[in-house]
Amino acid sequence: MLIRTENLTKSYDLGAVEVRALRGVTLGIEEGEYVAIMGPSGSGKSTLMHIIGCLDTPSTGRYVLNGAEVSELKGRALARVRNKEIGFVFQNFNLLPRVDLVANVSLPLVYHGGIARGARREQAVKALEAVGLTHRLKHRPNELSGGERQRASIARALVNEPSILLADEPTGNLDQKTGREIMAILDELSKEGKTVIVVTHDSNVAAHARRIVEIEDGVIAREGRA
Amino acid sequence: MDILESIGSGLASIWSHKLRSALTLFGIIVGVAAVVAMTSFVGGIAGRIWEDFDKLGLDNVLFVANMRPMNPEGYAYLKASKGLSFEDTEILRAEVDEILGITPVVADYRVVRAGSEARRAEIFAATPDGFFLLKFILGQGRFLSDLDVENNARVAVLGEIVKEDLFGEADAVGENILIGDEHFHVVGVLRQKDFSDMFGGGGNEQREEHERVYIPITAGMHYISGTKRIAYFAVRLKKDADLATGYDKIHNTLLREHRQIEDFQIENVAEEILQARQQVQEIVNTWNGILSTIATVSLLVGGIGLLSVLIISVNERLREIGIRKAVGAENRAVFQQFLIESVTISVFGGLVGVGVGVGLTKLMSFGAQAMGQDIVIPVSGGGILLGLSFAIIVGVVFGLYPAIKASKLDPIEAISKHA
Ligand SMILES: Nc1ncnc2c1ncn2[C@@H]1O[C@H](COP(=O)(O)OP(=O)(O)OP(=O)(O)O)[C@@H](O)[C@H]1O
Ligand SMILES: [Mg+2]
Repeated sequence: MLIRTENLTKSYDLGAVEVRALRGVTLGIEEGEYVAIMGPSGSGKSTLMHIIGCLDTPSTGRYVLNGAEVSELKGRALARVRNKEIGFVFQNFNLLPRVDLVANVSLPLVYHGGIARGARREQAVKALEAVGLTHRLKHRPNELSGGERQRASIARALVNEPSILLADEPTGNLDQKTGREIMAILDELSKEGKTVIVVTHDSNVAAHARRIVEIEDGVIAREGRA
Repeated sequence: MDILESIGSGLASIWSHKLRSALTLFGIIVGVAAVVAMTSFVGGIAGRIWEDFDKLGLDNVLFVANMRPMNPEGYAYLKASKGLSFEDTEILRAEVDEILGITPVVADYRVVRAGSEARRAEIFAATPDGFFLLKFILGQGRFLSDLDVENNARVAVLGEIVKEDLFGEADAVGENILIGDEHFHVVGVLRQKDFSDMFGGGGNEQREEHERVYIPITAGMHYISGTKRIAYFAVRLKKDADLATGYDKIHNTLLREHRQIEDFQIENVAEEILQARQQVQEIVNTWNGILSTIATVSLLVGGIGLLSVLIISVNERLREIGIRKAVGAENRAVFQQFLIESVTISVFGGLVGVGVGVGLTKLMSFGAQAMGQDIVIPVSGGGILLGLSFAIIVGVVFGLYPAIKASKLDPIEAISKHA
């Protein structure tokens, strides 16, 4: 099993109230699976994805990635996992506003270590070409449409060739045609053997996956084949 | 994130918040400028004064002069002692390790003639030791030699003023002069030293030296004083010798040679010079104290400004930090980035400060010259280095906390804190 969570919980202490975003999520995902996570707004999908992506830590529960207890990974090992194993596409893109797309997409390569500046550029350009942004290399994120930003953030997630791709609402802000283009990219990655997990509201999008996990109110409500 | 990118990012952050940067950098600029200007000023003035002291050539110098005892019984003893003699100098040279050089001196006034020109001058008879001992500079020809002393040679070295009075622009070396009724051969001419205005251009001391005619001690005793009595000894002790020990040894040796009769007195010029130097050193220390205080206070102010700006910057850039960590930046990399940014900002301020400091130094030279002082204050390279080191230290010290703070953040924590 590539990804295994046991009874994950995540609560936010907001002083007066305690928000329980996850209330015990137990989930297993095999290598090469194509999984859609669905659920209403606020149900904890992003929170779960962040924990799976090693970007956030659960309040309680276990998370084992590739046989390693993530809570026991030290800063440096954790950074390596984020850098090399996982590509994360954020719901709100999270691109650096002050630099152009090439610099944005190169970022994971910078922290990969040992890649010369020229080679980093080359790889970033290739990743941007793969998502159809050849004509936008020198643009900054705020000079792009939502779909273009979405694709740039996919390019960044893929540039280090991770084995796991986590995409949080990759079609959320897009029209249907652009959404289908994005999903075609994800389908292609899945076909290449990558493990793909995608969060979505849209059952048409979820239909691309082979397995659907439905979350409600911080717990898994239903699970099934697409 | 390589270093160049971090430096670029630091410069970009200066550029994108110009007012804030200017306020932050102000303290650092003032601090570094103060260090550069004050170090140059103190170093320049003090350096000039030390140079003058060196030129004065009276460090470690003692004069031993004949003295008539004050009381009647002392006077009675006088017959028992021969007074200062040429032999005394040889004994002192041999017995007192502290002595670097010693010369007996016989001096008297005579009319000196060369051709149709004539003037009165002090005839100063000494050994070759006297020249290096009193740090004279040779203009032309040569100094007196030991051979001259041995041979009672009638040779003379002229002070520059005497030379000009007697020979004008013409060459003096090789010419003959008359001292009183005696013929002497000019072998050398001294050159005056240029003192700074602070020493009044060298003043009377220097004038005196150049209104003399220098001849071998033996010729002096023979042709000028006509006695074996020596007027005084000029002594220079070795640089590292203990002044008090040297003084005591000379005193005791002379007492012994003079059968315990104190018919001489030692003028401790060395001690006076030492005290004068110490007074100057105290003034320099005071200035240095003021310098360090100004520098420390403004660098502290600058450092605190830098600290608050960096904390603001970290907070503004939480999302950036979160994104960087999300794509695999190690804590170390984030730490390094913010620290380099901090140092870049402080070094930028430091460089501007050096510019301002150099400007101030030039202004001081200019001001001094406008007030008629012949002083050029050199920009102190040490001061520049010191100022820049301060800037770097401020950048590191005050950048440390924000850099650590930035590096410890969890990716999502940082990203969502921002939102
Ligand atoms: N940093 C935070 N502090 C406090 N509460 C939070 C924080 N992050 C998330 N939450 C809360 O946790 C719950 C789950 O949030 P999450 O972002 O995971 O939902 P989601 O399923 O991704 O929703 P959406 O479909 O709207 O993206 C929400 O109620 C949210 O308000
Ligand atoms: Mg979400």
